[in-house]
Amino acid sequence: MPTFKKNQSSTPKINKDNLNMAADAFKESLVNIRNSKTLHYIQRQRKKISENRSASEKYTEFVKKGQDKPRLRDADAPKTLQERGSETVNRFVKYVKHHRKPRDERAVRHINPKHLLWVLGGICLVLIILSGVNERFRAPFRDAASIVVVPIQKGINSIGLWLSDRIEAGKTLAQLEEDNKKLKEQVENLTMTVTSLRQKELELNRLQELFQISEQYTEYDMVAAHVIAKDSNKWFSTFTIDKGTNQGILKDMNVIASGGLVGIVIDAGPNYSTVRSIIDDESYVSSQFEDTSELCMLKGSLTLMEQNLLEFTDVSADVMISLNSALITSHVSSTYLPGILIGYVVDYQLDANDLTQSGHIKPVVDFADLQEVLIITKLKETSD
Amino acid sequence: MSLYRIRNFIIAAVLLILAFVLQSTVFSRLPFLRSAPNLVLVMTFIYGYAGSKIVGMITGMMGGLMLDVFFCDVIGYHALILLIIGFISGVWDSFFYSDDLYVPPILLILSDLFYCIVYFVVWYVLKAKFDFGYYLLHIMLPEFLLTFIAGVILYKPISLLITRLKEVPEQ
Repeated sequence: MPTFKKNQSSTPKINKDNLNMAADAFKESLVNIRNSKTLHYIQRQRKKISENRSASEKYTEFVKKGQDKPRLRDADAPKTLQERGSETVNRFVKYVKHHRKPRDERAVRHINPKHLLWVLGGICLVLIILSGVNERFRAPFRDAASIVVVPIQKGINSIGLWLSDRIEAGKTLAQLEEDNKKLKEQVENLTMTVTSLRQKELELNRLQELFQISEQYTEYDMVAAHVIAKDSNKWFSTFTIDKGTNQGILKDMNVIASGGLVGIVIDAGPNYSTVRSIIDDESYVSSQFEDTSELCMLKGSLTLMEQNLLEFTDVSADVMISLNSALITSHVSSTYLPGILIGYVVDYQLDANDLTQSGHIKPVVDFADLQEVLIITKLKETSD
Repeated sequence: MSLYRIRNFIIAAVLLILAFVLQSTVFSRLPFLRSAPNLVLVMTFIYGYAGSKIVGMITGMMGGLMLDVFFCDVIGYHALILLIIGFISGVWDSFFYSDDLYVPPILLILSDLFYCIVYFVVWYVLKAKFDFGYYLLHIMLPEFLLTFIAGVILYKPISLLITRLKEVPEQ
């Protein structure tokens, strides 16, 4: 193996022999490189420098440099403006191509995944803290979601609804006739009930005027909405509906369905909102018994979700609870409007401390099959 | 940012959004399923394992942010878990051959286990609810099963797609 000895005492002189020797040493050392990527890189760099010329050629060029430089401009200068322009463009393109890094050397590949993990993890932690502190930090995410994801969700949901409609349409004529008969009977019954109720309402109004009771339970304005998405993992029971702030829905509005309380809006975007149902593990509703007006705390629980039950606690021991008595939202709750039906008592027992009672209720809403819900567009007014 | 990279990014984004929408609308609505397959996790895992750590991390974070915006009152929580899962599945890539068909589903289940346990610890143990047996039987096991099936079905086509897209066309 020829060795290239570097003269350390004085500055090395470049001559033909020296250069040839260096080139040979370089070529031989290339053979020993195993890593193909490195080899590839070195070869490319070398090609760039020497442009495929041998060392002697390079040397002669080096000596002659400056003596007979070809003058391109005088020989064939472009005549028209167009030609000159196109040449400039060509030269620019050549320059850019020459100086551009090859694809596999660009900076993107050189990001260290560990560094990225720390950076992104830090961003997540900051987001967790910020969104926990202030609601405003959700806004950009909400907007992005309402533009990108919600339309797709609505589309897929409407496909599902269309399919279930087709299935409904497949009912036979006989079934439909039977349904019709039943419905007519129901209408007759309901008309009778309505007339009697109207009379009672009139009477109530008169009595209210008489006793000067301020109307506490005014009729609420409501907006109907479809359930478009549900939390897939069963840890939580939150779902998304297809109405948002554009339709006047705000955070903390109450959601009902089939005459009973479903939950509360926890977040509202422009065209969707998220609802937490009362069977969710995080849910607490301050409620009261309709017959005795005793207050209690209603908690959702994951373990009871399967049985479609809710747990009530903190009823003082001297209160008489009767089975099947109705539980409604209480007037002391800060977010739930008063007087909305929740469910009926299934069982109850005295707690181990002998001071309080607790038990279970069955909600009137079937949470397993929620398709449409109503949102009460009235917020509970609290003193603060 | 060259054209082919933009194309890969768009394909990944579309697949991820599709996975999220299917998971939240179709599968969570099917009455005969007790749970729904965690498709966002499956996508994160496949992109981390068949792609690279970086791709897995970005996929996981984006999917997690979607889950956060729709179903969680804290933003960044799912994103953090899935970010870590994306990274770990990228690490596993260096231990196993990515064309092995038996290893990925097992690793996927391990990822899901990690996901569920973090969930359980953060939302339940910290609130003094320790009924782990119940959660394991009623929530984790159905999800594991469905995620496993989804992973077995989806792994081969998507990893093939990723490796095909990774090839830089020669000029």
